[in-house]
Amino acid sequence: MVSLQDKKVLLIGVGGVGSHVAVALCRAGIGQLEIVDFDVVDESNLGRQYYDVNDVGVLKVEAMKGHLNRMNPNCEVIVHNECLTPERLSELIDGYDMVVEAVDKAVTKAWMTEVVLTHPTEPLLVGCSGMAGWGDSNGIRRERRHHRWYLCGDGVSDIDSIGKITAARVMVCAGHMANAVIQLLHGEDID
Amino acid sequence: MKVNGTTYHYEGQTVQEVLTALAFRMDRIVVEYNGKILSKADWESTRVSAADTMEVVTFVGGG
Repeated sequence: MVSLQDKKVLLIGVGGVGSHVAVALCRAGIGQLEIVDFDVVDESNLGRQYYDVNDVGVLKVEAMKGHLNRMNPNCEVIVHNECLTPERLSELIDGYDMVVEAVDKAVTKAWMTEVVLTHPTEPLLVGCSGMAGWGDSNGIRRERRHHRWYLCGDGVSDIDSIGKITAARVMVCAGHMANAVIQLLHGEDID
Repeated sequence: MKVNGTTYHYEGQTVQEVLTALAFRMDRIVVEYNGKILSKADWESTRVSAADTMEVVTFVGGG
């Protein structure tokens, strides 16, 4: 078994999906997590994101770093409190062969996916699309959309039309994503 | 050509024109064209031919 202590992942977004992906990777023993978000924890986030009442008003990346440090001190956490541009994302990708896209806006997902998959260093990408509402958990699946891109979700449940999003379904999606990352970091060829 | 598995009779149009004709939401898609991700910047300059295969992924919000 390959240890994850020498592995590192760039995680974009530590909101609903991303906060749970971060927790799962940290607990799995990953050596380094670089996390990016521009948001502050709001009371309204507590229904689905990993944070708690003590985090309200704190930058998400800082709150997340605190939680991760307490659950696994051997995981180095690098934080960036910033709203990415394509150019800046491209800079951050250098040095990573594994990127996780866990942002909330469909438009952002689209350009970020394009930036990662056209980047010259050819990193792997695990992303998400479709986990709003409380549709069947089994509708959320992992799909290989390109030889370097895995997309998790049901592909259709849009927060903009459904308006509700639950921790339960977000965590199903995050679990798929984190496990795909773990499989890929162990060198498994998954579909 | 094939778009998301369905055959269409496009030839000579730009990728941008095909995407417009098929009513994709331009700001929330990623295009894989003959197995490679085609940057948005290249949609206007790439012309399709009958043997081409295009996969278009439309994202939805939430995360």
